[in-house]
Amino acid sequence: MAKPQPKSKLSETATPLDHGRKMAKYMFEWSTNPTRTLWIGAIGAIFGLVLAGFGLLTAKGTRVRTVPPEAVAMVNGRPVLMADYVAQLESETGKPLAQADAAERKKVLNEMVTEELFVQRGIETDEPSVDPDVRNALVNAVETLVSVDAVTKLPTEDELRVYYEKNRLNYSTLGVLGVKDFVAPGGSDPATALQNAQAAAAAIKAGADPTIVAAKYNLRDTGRVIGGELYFAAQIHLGNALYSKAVALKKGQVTDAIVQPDGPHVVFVTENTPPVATRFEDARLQVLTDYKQDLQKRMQANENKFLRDRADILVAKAFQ
Amino acid sequence: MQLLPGKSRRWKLIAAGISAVVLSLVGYFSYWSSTNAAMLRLLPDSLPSNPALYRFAVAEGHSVFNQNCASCHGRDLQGSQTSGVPKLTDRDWLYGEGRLSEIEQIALYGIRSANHRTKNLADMPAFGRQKPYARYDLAPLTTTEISDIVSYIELAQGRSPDMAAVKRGIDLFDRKGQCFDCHGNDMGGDNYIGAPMLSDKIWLYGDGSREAIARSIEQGRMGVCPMFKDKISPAKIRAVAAYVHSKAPVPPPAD
Ligand code: HEC
Ligand code: HEC
Repeated sequence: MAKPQPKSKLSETATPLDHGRKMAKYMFEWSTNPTRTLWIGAIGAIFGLVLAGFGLLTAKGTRVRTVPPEAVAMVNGRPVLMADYVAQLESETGKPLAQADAAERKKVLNEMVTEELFVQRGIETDEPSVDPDVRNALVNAVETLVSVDAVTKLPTEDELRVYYEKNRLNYSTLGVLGVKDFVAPGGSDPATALQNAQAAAAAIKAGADPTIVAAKYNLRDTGRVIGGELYFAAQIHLGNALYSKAVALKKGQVTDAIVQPDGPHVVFVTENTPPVATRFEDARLQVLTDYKQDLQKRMQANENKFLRDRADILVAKAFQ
Repeated sequence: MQLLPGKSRRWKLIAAGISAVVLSLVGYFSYWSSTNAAMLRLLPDSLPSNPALYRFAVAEGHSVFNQNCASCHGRDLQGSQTSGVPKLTDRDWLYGEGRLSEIEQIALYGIRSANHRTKNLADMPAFGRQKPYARYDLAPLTTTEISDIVSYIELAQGRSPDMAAVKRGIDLFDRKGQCFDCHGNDMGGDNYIGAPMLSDKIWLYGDGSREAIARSIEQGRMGVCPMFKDKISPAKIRAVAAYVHSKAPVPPPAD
C-alpha cells in the first residue's frame, strides 16, 4: 500500500467537499424516513400497474417507439421493409418511387400495413390449421425453406462427375423416328388385304419406291407420323405393336405385314436416330441443375426425418 | 521511496491509454452504426447520389461480397459460363437494369429461391425432354428442329448459317417452340422475367457455339441465386448492393 500522501493545501479550504458531505447526509436521512419510503413505494406500484394495464388492454403500451432505418413502418413490432415497399410500389404503379405521387405512396403503404395486420390476425386465429390453401402454402414454404441452403455454393468438379456417372441414363438425347405407315384396309376381304400387304412389304424390301408400291397394292398412307418424331411421340401415334417393330429397324428398312384391327399394316422407316449418351462436358450444366435439385430433395427428406424424430406421434392400433 | 510515485504515474498512463482505446472504439462504433443507419434510411436509388454514404457502403459491401457472393460470382464479379453464373460488371442485366434497388431485391430474396418475393416468373424449358416445361404445356422439339432454331439464332448473331434451316427455324421460334413469348419477337429478351437476349454476344451458359446454344434449348435452364434476407443484416444487404452497383456501368438516366 502506498503511504497516505500529504493532504494538499487546497482540500483544507475546499467548501465543495463539505457541501457534498452535507448533501449526502441529507439524502441518506431523507430516504431512510419510513413513511416517505412507503409513499414512494406505493406511487411506484400504482404507476407500474397503470402501465401494465394500459399495455394489456390496448396492445399499444408495448409498441416499439422507433422505426428502424431499414423499415418504412412497424406493425405490432414487425417491420415493413423499405426494400419491399419500393419494389411493391414499382410493380403496382409501374414507376420508380421518386416519380410516384403522395397518394400513390400512401395507398401502397396502407395496403402493406393491412396485409401485415391480416397475416398477424390469421396467425392469431390459427388460420393455418383451418384453411386448406394456407396449409398447402405453409407446407410448400417449409419444403423450400429447408432446402435453400443447398445452393449457397457451387459443387466441385469432382462432385459433379460422380453424380453424372451415377445417373448416366438421364443424360442422353431423345431418339427420333420417322416412318410411313401403310394400311391395307381389311373391309370385306381380309385375306386379300393380307396378301396385298405381304406383297407390298416384299416389293419395298426388294428396293421399290414405297409410295408407288402402296398405290399398286391398294395400301393407304395413314399419316399417323409426320416427319421425324421423338420416340415417345411416335410410340403414341403408331401404337405399341407397330412402334416396337419399326424402332428396331434402320432408315430405308420396312416391316413385314403386321395385322391390326383396321387391317394389316406395313411400316417403312424414313429416319431413325437412336438416343445418344451426352458426354459429361456437354451435360455439365444439366448435371449441375439436377445435382442441386437432388440435394434439395435430400435436405427435405432430412428435415422430415428430423421433425418425425422429435415429434410425439401416436397412431391408433388399428391403423399402425 | 522514489519508486511509488513513478509506479502510479505508469498506472495512470496505462489507464489513460485504455480509456483512449475504449473511447475511440466507442466513437468508431457509434460513427459506424449511425452511418449505417443513415445509409439505410435513404431510398436505395438515392444512395449513389450521396457520395460520402455511397463510398462508405461500397467499402463495407466489398467484404460482404467476398464472404457471401464470391463463391459463385467470383471475386472479380466475372461469373462463370460453365456454371451459368452471370457477370455482374456488364450492362446486360437478366433482371431489371442494374439500379441499386433492383440489386438489393436480388440480394434480399434471390432468384428462384424460397420466398414469395423472389424472382421466379419463368424458366428456360427443356425442349429435349418429353415434358419440356413444368409451368405449362409445351411440345418437345427434335434434334433437327433444335438445330434449325439454332441456325436462326446464329443469323441474329450476325453469322451466316444455312438459310433454308433459318426459314424453318423462324417458324419454330414463333410457333411450336413459343420462344418469342419469353425471349421476344426480336430475341431482345425480357428483363422482367429474366429471359436473356439471344441476339447479343453475351452468354449466360456456354460460349455461344452452335452446340452450347443447342444444349440450353435441349436441357433447359433455371439458375438459382440464393436469398440472403435472414442471413445477413439489412445494412450488409444494402452495402453489398451498393458494391455490385458500383462495379457495373451506370444505366442511362430514366426519362
Ligand atoms: C417460358 C419462357 C421461355 C421460353 C418459352 C423459352 N425460353 Fe429460353 N430462356 C428462358 C429463361 C428464363 C432463360 C434464362 C434461364 C436462366 O436464367 O437460368 C432462358 C435461356 C435461354 C438460352 C440461354 C441463353 C444464354 O445466354 O446462355 C437460350 C439459348 C434460349 N433460352 C433459347 C430459347 C429458345 C430457342 C426457345 C424456343 C424453342 C426458348 N428459349 C423458349 C425462358 C424461356
Ligand atoms: C450459389 C451461387 C450464388 C451465390 C452464393 C450468389 N449468387 Fe447471385 N446469382 C447466381 C446465379 C446462378 C445467378 C443467375 C440466376 C439466373 O439464371 O437467373 C445469379 C444472379 C444474380 C444477380 C442478377 C444478375 C442479372 O444479370 O440480373 C445479382 C444482382 C446477384 N446474383 C447478386 C448476388 C449477390 C449480391 C450475392 C451475395 C449476397 C449473390 N448473388 C450470391 C448464383 C449465386
